[in-house]
Amino acid sequence: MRARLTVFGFRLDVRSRLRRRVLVIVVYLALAAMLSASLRWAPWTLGNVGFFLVIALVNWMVFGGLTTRGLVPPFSPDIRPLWVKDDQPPESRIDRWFWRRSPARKDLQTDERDDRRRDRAHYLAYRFVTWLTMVVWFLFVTVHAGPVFGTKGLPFDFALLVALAVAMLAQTLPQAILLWTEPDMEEA
Amino acid sequence: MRTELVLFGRHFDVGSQARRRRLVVLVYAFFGVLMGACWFVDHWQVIGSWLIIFAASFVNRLVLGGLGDEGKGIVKPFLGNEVHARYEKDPDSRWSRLTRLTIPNVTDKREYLSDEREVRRRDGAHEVAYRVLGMVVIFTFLVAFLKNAVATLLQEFGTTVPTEFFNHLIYALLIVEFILFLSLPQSILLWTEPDVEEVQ
Repeated sequence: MRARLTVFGFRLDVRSRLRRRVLVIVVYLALAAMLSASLRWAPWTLGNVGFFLVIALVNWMVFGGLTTRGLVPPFSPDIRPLWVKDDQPPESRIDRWFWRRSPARKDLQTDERDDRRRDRAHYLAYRFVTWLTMVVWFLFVTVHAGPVFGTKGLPFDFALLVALAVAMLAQTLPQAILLWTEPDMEEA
Repeated sequence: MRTELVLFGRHFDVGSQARRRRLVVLVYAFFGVLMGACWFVDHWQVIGSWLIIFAASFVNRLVLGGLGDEGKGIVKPFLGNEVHARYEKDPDSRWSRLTRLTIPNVTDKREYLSDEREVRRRDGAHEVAYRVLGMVVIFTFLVAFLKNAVATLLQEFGTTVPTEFFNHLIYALLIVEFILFLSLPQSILLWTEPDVEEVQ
């Protein structure tokens, strides 16, 4: 896991667990605010799809895991950057632009302990998302089937809110668990 | 992982990988047929939904294992170590006595507890399953978005979208997700575990 995070030129030291936890809370609060705003003003429009782009951006810049940047190293060896900083600088100017922003090889490598922690985080996240998916199904049952279980059917926007929240967690929860549970780096 | 499956009093040898893979295919074929049958019952509304919920949890507990604390099924209970640790803390507590009553083999370490290797394989299987299901969840949302957002746009151009078809598609995807969330890690474990003879 990286010890420093660079977002829009700002450098943040995240070696301490407390700081990483604050970061996770801030990210989820921001995502929750964006989610409710997109549903309040534009339900079922391109704004909702844009929300997935925001999640991708969060993973790319902050969390990592599914991308080669961010704090958590890539979950799979198949996730590879175009360039690695340890490579020779490329000739072309465009390639050099990407090369300058590419990660170092040590930031991409994982050891046995990292892999175990990654798998454990996915196990915990899986259990949580399983329950949430069941809630989504139940909500859609009431929306879809109408007066089931004595209900009149929930508003579709509410079901959408929960579905979006589940999709968001499915993309970010394992990384957040890793950031939350990793001890202070000095201690490690 | 157990090498024998006991179902309705009959014993099945599931030590070989080929047999376990056949079983996984059979289980998912059963779920497919069940979904098809429930569609004809009431379009997956009250009876159809509950039939799927009961069948999925029943098959998971008795055949695949993993979920549920009783320790039935081929895969050992995922929470076996946690339940056992809590039991060992105070075997005379009310909770422990109730556990002993409902899970008779909670003290059987060989049958109930997962060793280091099994815990690692369990976590690894969840990692793979998580990635697959993450994509399915996003795909479901995109279909729902297409139905609701694009349909309105298309209507302005005089094209109608079969709303009912999309409703049923979204609903079917949610049912598939429900079944997969309950069964995929166990299926991955059964599919990838080598022949038990080879391990020994």
